Amino acid sequence: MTVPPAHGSSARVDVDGDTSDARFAPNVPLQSRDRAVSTVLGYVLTLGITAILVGGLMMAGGQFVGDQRERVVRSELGVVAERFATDLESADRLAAMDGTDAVEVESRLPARLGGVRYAVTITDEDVRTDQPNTYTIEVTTRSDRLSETVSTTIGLESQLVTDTHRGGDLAIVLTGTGPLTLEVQDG
Amino acid sequence: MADVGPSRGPPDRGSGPPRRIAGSDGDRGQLFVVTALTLGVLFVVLALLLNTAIFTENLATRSTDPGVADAIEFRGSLEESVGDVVVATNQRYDTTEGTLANGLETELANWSELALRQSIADGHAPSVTVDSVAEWGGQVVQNDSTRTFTDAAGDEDWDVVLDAEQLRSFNMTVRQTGLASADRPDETTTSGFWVELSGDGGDTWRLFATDNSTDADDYIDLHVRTGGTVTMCTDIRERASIDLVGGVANGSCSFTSPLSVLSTPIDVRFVNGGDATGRYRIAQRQDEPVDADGQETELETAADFEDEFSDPYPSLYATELIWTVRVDVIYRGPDVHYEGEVLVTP
Repeated sequence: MTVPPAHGSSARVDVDGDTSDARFAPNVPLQSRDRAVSTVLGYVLTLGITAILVGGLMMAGGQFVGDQRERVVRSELGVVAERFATDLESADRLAAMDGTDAVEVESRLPARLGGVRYAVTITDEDVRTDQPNTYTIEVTTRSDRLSETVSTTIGLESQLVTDTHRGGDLAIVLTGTGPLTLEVQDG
Repeated sequence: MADVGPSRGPPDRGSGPPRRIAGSDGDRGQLFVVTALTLGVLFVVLALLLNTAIFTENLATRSTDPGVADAIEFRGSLEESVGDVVVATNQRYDTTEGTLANGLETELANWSELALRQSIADGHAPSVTVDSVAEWGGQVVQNDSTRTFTDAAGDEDWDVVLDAEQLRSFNMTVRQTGLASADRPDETTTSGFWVELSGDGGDTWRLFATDNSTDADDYIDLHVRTGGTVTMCTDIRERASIDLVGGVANGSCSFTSPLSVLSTPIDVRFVNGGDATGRYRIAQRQDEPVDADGQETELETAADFEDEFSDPYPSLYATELIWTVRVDVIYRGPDVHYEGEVLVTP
């Protein structure tokens, strides 16, 4: 894009040393109108192209950030599911020891994953897997914008009360010894 | 890019104020400001996401144990550590059941206090208390090393223990003084001292202690005969410390343990006990009818011993023994709370 110089380059010098701008010379009236139009057009084009570039940058950046966020949340859901399953198995090991009267294990989990709340759901899988005391731990985001679920399956010696809990610190408590029953409570 | 330099405006025509183009001066930078702010927000969000990702990786690589392993380890160690307390209590308070039970409470409280002091630095607070004595056994003790291996009445051949369902320990120290000499001692030819253990099926295990002294030094030879095999521990100086249950003499010479070849119940008999002097302690449990307190009672051979309350202190006596104890355990960690009951048999 070339914008004709508004002044300076087309200045001329009279023989007597006076300077004057060519735009105000009486024999070039059309050039003056062209200059005004090209200045406005120049700005419009400049701003338009800039807006397109910036918009594209923001769209690409936004998409990139969104993708990264999903990836991070999905990864963290998996970590949380595995950690919670491990804590359940640890509590189960304690509960299954001879002579155990009381067990309480605190499962320290983050309240949000990538800024999104989540829920932990325990489902009985005895029938599906044909194995006693088999459970699926499902960790699901609680957000309209981001819907992700990660699950893992564990086998315990104790029975586990099936329920859904808000993400965050949870307590695994032995609530029965005959048969062994573990219950997850909000911490 | 848009021009953000100072506005130069149209040239002065010589009269009036300079003309301005609407929206081209102060408003020119708005697009940049909006862009910069938007990009700034994007970068902040990206930084937060990066932080979350790092936290996730950190979380994933942290130890997954909330402290349960420590609790299980502590509970598992009770069997050994409290077992040692029980053994020490049996030796220190070997008089009556009441004394033993009270002694165990005292000793275990001391042990629990020490365990708490050690663990508290790591953030754990264990507590162990005696719930009850689950099983009683009996122990035979001779604590005078100059006394012969005879019974209280002076009989040289006598049954020390009859029908022992379990033999926890049988330790004896035999002095060289008084032992008879024999090259190949056995039950038919030897007039010297031996210990005989008989199993339920009629199998026997015998340990012969003989003198093998030279002019210069006093030596003891041990011969263990069982099932046609003979194991010898020779040239033991002056006194032999024998762990019959563990099958080792003076900590170095191994022989066949009677528990590995005999079936229960087991009888323990001393033969020619007048030929040997030394100490011994036998801890055993019999399947006897329980008394009114629900505790197993006396040794069948109780009449062969001195009164454990005699004055002066008896050198050969039989008393009760704490065989199995039930202890209550409370373990508190940062993220773990455990309560349980553990049966401890040393």
